[in-house]
Amino acid sequence: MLGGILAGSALAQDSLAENLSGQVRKIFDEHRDAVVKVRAKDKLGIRFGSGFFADLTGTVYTHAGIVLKADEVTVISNGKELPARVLVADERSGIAILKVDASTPSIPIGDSQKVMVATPVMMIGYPEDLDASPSFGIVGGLDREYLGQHFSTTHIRANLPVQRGQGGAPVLNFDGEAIGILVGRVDAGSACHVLPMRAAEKVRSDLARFGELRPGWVGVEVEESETPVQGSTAKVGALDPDTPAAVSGLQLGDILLKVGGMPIISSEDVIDASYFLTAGDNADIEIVRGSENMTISVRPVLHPLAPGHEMQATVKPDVSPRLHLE
Amino acid sequence: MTPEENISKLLRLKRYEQPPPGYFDDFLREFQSRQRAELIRRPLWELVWDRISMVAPAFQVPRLAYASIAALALAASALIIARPGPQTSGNLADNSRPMLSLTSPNPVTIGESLPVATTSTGSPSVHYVLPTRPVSYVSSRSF
Repeated sequence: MLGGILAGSALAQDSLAENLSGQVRKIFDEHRDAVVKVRAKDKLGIRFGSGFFADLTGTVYTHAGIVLKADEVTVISNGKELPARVLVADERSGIAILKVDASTPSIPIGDSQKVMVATPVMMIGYPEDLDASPSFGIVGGLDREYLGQHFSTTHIRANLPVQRGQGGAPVLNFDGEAIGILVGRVDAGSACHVLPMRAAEKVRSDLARFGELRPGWVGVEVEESETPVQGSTAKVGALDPDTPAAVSGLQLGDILLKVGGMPIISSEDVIDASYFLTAGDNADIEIVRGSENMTISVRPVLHPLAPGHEMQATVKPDVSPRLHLE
Repeated sequence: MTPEENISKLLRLKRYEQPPPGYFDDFLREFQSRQRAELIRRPLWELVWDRISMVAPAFQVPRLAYASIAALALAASALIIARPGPQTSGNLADNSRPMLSLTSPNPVTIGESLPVATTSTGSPSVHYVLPTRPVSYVSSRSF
């Protein structure tokens, strides 16, 4: 009897492992042609990383660190080396968008909002000088900071092994959709940080709409209030008089409930809310003032540290004469 | 008398031969003093060579190999002594003489914190990208 149960359990485990392996292999076979190796030459050497086609017209997502200072960029796809233009290399998000003049396969973009702890994920990338390789794991957490430094927006921490050269690789869900881009490794590579596709698509959206990045800024310093009001402890702690927030009527002591449609519970939630603000696009800020709920419409301006201000992100018109996506 | 008979007679006589009294007492001391005198008389290079030769069988290295190593060491010393001192920035540009380099000309994977540099042969270094630190310019509590 006991022997039968144990044998049944072992069979079930074998079946689970086979199913898992089969699914990883299926997605790998289906999308490996859309994953590319990115080669960038600059004054200091040659950098290699990974990337992937996000549409059928040769738009490539990759890691900003590969191409940030590159003089010449090529994309190696199916053994063919294709010249690529850098449309944008954004240090804020850590990604870059390239353009190859070719019809290409692509990986569909998934909903990174659905990712939660223990969601199974896989990655396809080029480790060092080796061939495209799949890697499998699960989501270990959603992080806003690492090693004492804040991300620009919440990142997915995936417990899947990564190697050098896989920066920029797509991280996929088990429906074969890209849910993020590999931007950093944790520890020695036993896990990694992944920029959610939603955040990557904000970069692509800005580029498509304006030909440049437009990170928004309203000029609010937030602090923690001692007691939560309607579930939020995020309080306006400082406000310069000439900032968009002040001009729109926001006041010191207001409790933030939503910024641009994103719910705010603590002061740290403004990280995500602010990432998705776009300079020039009105954003609603829902607040509690005293006992009154209010919605204030604010028009953000370009972030003081954005391109054209402190040059933390760079659009490279000399390398990419056409800044709009085709 | 045949040669065999001669040898037998000589051996019988030798059996009764004895050294003078005190001979064995001084034998060892005299041997050592003669050995020291011999060492002092020999040139230094010959002594060094003897020492090396004594060690050589233990490593099973051909003796000539030591001569080659010694010659190489001498050549390297001469080269180091003959090299000019550190260059100033002013003369770096116009000095095209090839320099010795410890940088590998082959592609290498280097740490994220290390700069990427070209090798002395002109072939660029290769860097496989996957950093450890996030990038961000936002403060956590302002927007």
